[in-house]
Amino acid sequence: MSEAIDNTQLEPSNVATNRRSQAGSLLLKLPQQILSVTRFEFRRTNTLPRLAVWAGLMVFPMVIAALVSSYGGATRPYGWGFMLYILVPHVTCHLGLLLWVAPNVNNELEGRTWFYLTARPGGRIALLLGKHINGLLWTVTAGWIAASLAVLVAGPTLEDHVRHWWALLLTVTLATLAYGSLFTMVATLLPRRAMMICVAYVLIGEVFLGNMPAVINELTVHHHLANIFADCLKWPVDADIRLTLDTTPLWIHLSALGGYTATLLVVAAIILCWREYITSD
Amino acid sequence: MIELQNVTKLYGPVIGVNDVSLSLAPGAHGLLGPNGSGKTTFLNLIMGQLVPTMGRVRLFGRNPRTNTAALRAIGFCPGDEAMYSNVSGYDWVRYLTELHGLSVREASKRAQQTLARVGMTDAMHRPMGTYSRGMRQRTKIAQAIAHDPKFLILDEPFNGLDPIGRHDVIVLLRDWTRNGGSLLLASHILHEVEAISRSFLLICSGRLLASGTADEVNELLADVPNEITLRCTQPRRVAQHLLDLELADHVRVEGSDCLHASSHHPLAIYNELPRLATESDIEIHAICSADDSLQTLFDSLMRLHRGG
Repeated sequence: MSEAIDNTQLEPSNVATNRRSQAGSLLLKLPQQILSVTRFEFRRTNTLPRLAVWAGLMVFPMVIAALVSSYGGATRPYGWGFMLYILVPHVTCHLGLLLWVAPNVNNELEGRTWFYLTARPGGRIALLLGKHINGLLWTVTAGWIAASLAVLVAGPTLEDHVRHWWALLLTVTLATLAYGSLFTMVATLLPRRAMMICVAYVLIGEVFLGNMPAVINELTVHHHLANIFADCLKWPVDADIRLTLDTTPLWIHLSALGGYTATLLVVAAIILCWREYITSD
Repeated sequence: MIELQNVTKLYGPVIGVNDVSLSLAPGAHGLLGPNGSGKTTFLNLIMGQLVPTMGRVRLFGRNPRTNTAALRAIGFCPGDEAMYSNVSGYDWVRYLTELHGLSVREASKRAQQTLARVGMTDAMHRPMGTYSRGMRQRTKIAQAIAHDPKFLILDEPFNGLDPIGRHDVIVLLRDWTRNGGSLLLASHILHEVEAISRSFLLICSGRLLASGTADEVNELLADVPNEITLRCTQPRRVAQHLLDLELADHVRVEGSDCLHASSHHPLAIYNELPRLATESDIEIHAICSADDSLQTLFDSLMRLHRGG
């Protein structure tokens, strides 16, 4: 059914009356618009090269795990868990998000398809969230399957592999959501250099600061993810492992990641709605 | 319908649009200007894609930047040709129609109907990467009209179209206006706009030089000499006569049968010519005033704007 506004609705005297109902209508239509963008983007990115990269992301933790397993498995205590935690929620998810989320805004600007989408009511938000969800779906599925395959291969030499498996599934999900929001925010703020800045942030912020035994590491996603992972596996806080663990309750780490994810996504939406993007030279 | 009050848009030190004020009523309007004159910036300000550095833009009485609901009544066809190369025209038009809030089923139906309307039925399931420029242009128009907007904004819609394609689009847009639709058509080619609209906005270097119907714009040209070309015998004698009567400012004889006269009093020349022809036994074969053409209006305004 057409939602076009007729001329009588657009008379100045009727504008104020209509404004509230149309804003409500816009909000009601938004989930459908987001779904449309997600569906379209999923079909559009469902190409052979992308599928090959997706398969690569799923397989490489399994290959590493197979190599380690063929040499008798990890020798250090907690070695398997630490390795899988780095390989799947970090490397797999980061690479997936770099590929599917970081270039989201820039692809539309460089491809000069931006105006077609943003000339629709609520188009900017639908574009942001639809593409964001599409990126998360590709990444989280790659992470889940990578975790399952790696645990399967490491199984014979991995103690309590079921617990490792669901701890990985949980951290993959949380890492995808949190890093996805961060990368989306960077994509809206600095679209043309988003990938480079995301890589720099991961190396400096997450790897360097996140492993620093100081209060500043509590600002990183890695700190909360590591504690959630360790809590799931019942690792002691003083375990001999290259992770800075603390005694903060699990719910605080989960809330911190939830707040981080939501805040960054809201910031990204605000930037996208207010910023002027120029597509031409 | 569209209102701009003292709108200026700066890109750093570069002026995109310079102190433009206008009010557009429903109907067909042509936005004319050379390449780089600020037409696309002007359209993007109306669409809310850009925020004016100074001034105020209203689309149906609202700020298009903050009240995007007004965009539901707009069909926008940008000048950029870029499209997703691996997506079919049908999928793309359906997708963009869905983003106007239509259901998947309704959007599918509209996409099919609209692509048929622009003559793209046979190619609509092919990837757009295989389309010619003309096919892309027609698909772009289809995505702009599929949700049945009230007002169509088109940026250089004839780019890349062959003569038949141009004619088809002209017919389509004429039908559009005949059926009560409004449009704003930006182009740097005068006769394309002339074929669709009798209301013009002339823009150059970000400034609105003139607006109104062709007649209204003509009134602004009272101080601009009109160019008249005569095909006649004894052109030198005619030239001398026009100068003696101070009817022509400048004359130029070309060959043995052609005279170009520049005059502030074209009507007086037209009145004088029959008498001259009769009394001096001069045969006048043709009188051609380029001032009936929009091209002359535009050229004259450009000269005025440049201080010529």
